[in-house]
Amino acid sequence: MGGLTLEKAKDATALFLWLVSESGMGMSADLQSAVPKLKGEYKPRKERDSKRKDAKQENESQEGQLGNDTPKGTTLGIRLPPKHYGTATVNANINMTLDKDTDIEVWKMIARLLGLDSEDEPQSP
Amino acid sequence: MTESVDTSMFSPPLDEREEETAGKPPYPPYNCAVPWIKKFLELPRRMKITEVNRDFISQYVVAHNHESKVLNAIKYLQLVDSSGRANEKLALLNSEGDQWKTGLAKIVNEAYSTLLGTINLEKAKPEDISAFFASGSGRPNT
Repeated sequence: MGGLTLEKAKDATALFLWLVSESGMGMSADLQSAVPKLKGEYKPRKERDSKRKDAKQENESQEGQLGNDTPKGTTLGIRLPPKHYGTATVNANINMTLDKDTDIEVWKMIARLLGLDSEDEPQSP
Repeated sequence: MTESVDTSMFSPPLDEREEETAGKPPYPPYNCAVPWIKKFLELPRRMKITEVNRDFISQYVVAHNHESKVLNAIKYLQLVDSSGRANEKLALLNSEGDQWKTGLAKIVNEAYSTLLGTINLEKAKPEDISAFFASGSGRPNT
């Protein structure tokens, strides 16, 4: 009589690796990566909150770095994507008519888009 | 002229043979989900277990229809004898932390002694272990 089918052998391997992992026995990195992860595994609230906080800080740190690389005054307060999402190039054509009735905030936004410092921003007509 | 009859075709399916096998099941457990066995292994901390049967499993571990899968895994790990009576190995799991891990390591070492005597876990790949089980080498007395 032979052994298990390959599919069943893989399932048996998964259970075996989980047992080995739980017992703290040593195993290779390849085996460690194959240890099944339990979905919805209970973690103390303190640990979960701590992980969330770390992730948030990392995200903010990456956003900050990206913001520093960007010319001042061009972000318009837009929340930039974290660096690990990759950078994206956006091309857009915007046609606007500015006149004396245009709101001051729009003038300021256009000034920032053009890379003008706040000190250099044009006065509204 | 005598015709030979292949009687293997009348044998029960693999799963049923495992159910019928006395003592340690012939195959390493493959259909017992990890959360089920995890749940069972944590029970000795909370209660004294003297006998494990299908009713016990359905009451404390997993709902109807999956009891035999957990029971076979427990038998393979030699935590109970063929009739379901708990033995001293199960008592090793009535502990916490490192002591619990040491107890589990002893259980795993003995249940999978053939595998662990053949494959070096520090160097092995998952496919080595799957191939070992597929070859039938993981069965007792092989």
